[in-house]
Amino acid sequence: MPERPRDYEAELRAIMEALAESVAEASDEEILRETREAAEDPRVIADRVRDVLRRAAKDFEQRRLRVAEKAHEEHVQSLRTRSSSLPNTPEDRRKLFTLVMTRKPELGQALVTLQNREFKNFTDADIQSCLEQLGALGVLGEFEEREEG
Amino acid sequence: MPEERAATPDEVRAALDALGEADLVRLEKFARYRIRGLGRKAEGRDHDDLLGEAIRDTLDPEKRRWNKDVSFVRHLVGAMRSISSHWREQFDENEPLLESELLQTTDEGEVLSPLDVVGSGAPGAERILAAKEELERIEKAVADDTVVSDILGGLRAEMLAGEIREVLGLSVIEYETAMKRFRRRVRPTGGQGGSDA
Repeated sequence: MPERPRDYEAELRAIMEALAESVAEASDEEILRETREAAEDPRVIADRVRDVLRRAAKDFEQRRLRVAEKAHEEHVQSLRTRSSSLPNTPEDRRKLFTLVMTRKPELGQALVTLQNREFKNFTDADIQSCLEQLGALGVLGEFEEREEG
Repeated sequence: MPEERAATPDEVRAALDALGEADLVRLEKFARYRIRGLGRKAEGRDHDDLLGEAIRDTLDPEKRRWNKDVSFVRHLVGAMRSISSHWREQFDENEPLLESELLQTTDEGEVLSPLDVVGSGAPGAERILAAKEELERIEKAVADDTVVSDILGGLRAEMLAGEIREVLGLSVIEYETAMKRFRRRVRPTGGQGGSDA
């Protein structure tokens, strides 16, 4: 049976991993002595490594922040998209709002603007805001479809 | 891991600030050896990348949380061990045909070494040549130390430290002393063509 060729990469990896493990187990004194023997300054190395670690930690936090910002932007964009599908005129928006409140009066509880107020006193801006909130809650779809139908 | 033993990001940052000089140097040496072990499979990543990845993973609650029952240094060492192994596995997965492509058999049944096909355009052949040359430098660097050379032989045969000690009849202290000499001959900063090996 032919002899299998040597796996040089696996051999090199085994050696380096054994050396790494021996470093992990070495005493602090040995680590510092070996560093000085190699004409290196442990303090300089330590400062540099600490800097690398701190930068990585900062990078991670900034990355998380960016992800949160992106999610927020997407949410805002989604609200904008929904509000842009509202009727164009104040009269039509008021008509849609009255329809929703007539058929599903319980939704009024979910709207901050509605607390203790009469519909008839609502300004156009109030109506717009309420419809945007209802849109964000995903309850306008069925009314829009009925309107279209 | 019990939730109360998992470090918070603030605790991780505090532990990082509290790392002493020897531990920081230890982490760097460990990272360098692990990257040298990857050879060209590191794909351009260096020891700083490995150190950074270990911290980022530790801060990520969905990845490698630090169990405070273990020292922070030991945790980072474990994280680097695992990350560098993962990088190698990823490389191997991306080149699944490498081994079979490189092993060639002649009509007489002789299996050709990957090095025999260097220059033939086979993927990975240059990388294997680089590993072979580094092994030769290491062999040369420890040639005058019989015990270290014997340990090297065991490692090349992918034996574990315990097996090597048993075969060579070395105590734990004798083995560690020899490894210390080994580290001096093959320094972590050696890289490709370093002064020692």
